[in-house]
Amino acid sequence: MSKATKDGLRSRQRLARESAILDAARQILMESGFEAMTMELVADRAMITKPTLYAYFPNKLEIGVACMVRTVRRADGEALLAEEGLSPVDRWAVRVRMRLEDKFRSPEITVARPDEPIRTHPEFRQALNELTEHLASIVSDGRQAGEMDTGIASKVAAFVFISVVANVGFEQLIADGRTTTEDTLRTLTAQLTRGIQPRAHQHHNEETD
Amino acid sequence: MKKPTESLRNRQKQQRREAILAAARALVTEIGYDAVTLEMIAERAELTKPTLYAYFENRDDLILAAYLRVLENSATTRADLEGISSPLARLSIIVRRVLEANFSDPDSMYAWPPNPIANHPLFVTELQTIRNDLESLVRQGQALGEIASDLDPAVAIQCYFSVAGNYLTLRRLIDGGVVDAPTLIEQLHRFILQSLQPPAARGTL
Repeated sequence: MSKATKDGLRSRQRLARESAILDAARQILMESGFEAMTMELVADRAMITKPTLYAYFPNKLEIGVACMVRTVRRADGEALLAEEGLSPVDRWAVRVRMRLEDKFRSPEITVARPDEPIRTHPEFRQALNELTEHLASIVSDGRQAGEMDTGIASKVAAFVFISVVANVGFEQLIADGRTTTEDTLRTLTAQLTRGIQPRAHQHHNEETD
Repeated sequence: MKKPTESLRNRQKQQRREAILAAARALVTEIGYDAVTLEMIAERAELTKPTLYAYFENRDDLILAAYLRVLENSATTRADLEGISSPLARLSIIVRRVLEANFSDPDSMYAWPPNPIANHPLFVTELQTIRNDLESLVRQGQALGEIASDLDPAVAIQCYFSVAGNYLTLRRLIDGGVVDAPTLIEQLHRFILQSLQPPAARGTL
């Protein structure tokens, strides 16, 4: 075996193990929260020793942050490729569909709103800001092209998108049998696209009384 | 003279109760459910501890009441809905009421309740009642063609909850100077209503 192949194998193994650590951390974060998470618990759950865990992450905050950043950045590359050459409305629709499919078809990656030390961590904030800016730029283009509602600020639209994607109440509804993954995907895709499209006329005048 | 005085006192009592509940929610959001004490709530609401006991039996009851109060904002049985027959118009009023309660007063800040509250039988039952009522409004709106027929009512209501209840994140738009509170309320309301309406009714493009 050549050195290059061995290195490739090693780095693949490393990535796989890192991913297993983050999966373990995610489960613990979802079940008991950041405060209750310890390096022992993560090592146990990932079925590795504590020294091995420390070779990957210096402390539990770094694990928690990496876990959340992975969630925020997931599917970004694919979405960017899929967006190429499309109109703003279609770019938004692609983002919505890919994010939601990722959220509901890969439940093992979903993490609820993070606890305090993670939420304010610069790395997590940066990942979130990048996503917000990208979403807002799509809406901003769409507003200029007259395809999207100018009555909703592009950042507000981006935050709405993130609020829906980050909410784990949908997974609960599916788990409780009150809806299905397919119905959730269809409904949210429709709502997130229609919600920011311009309306020609108001159909519910009573609301302003 | 007796009656007006009585109603004034009732109103004061009501206001004080609201202030206590708001203080409790703010503290739970800031320092966590376990850390909040009755003393802290009293201090935050600028009242004495004995006064608090005149309103609530103990700390747990008080905090539970604080979150039940939030659910009340979503109720379909309030006076502001009287005489409004259109389901979409009723939803519009409820959504506005909730957004205003959540976003216009920076002191009323709260996040989704902590587990001891979220799993409390009373809270669970109350939330389910509200969900059922709102979902039934969606179904009525769908039957009348006011609400898109391709939406799953349970998901549509959760979508509204996920936006209207994401106080801590959306609040950043106000704190960051992107929009002011009334604009944010207006725009979130607009999104939620448009997200429910059928595309044809809005004549897109």
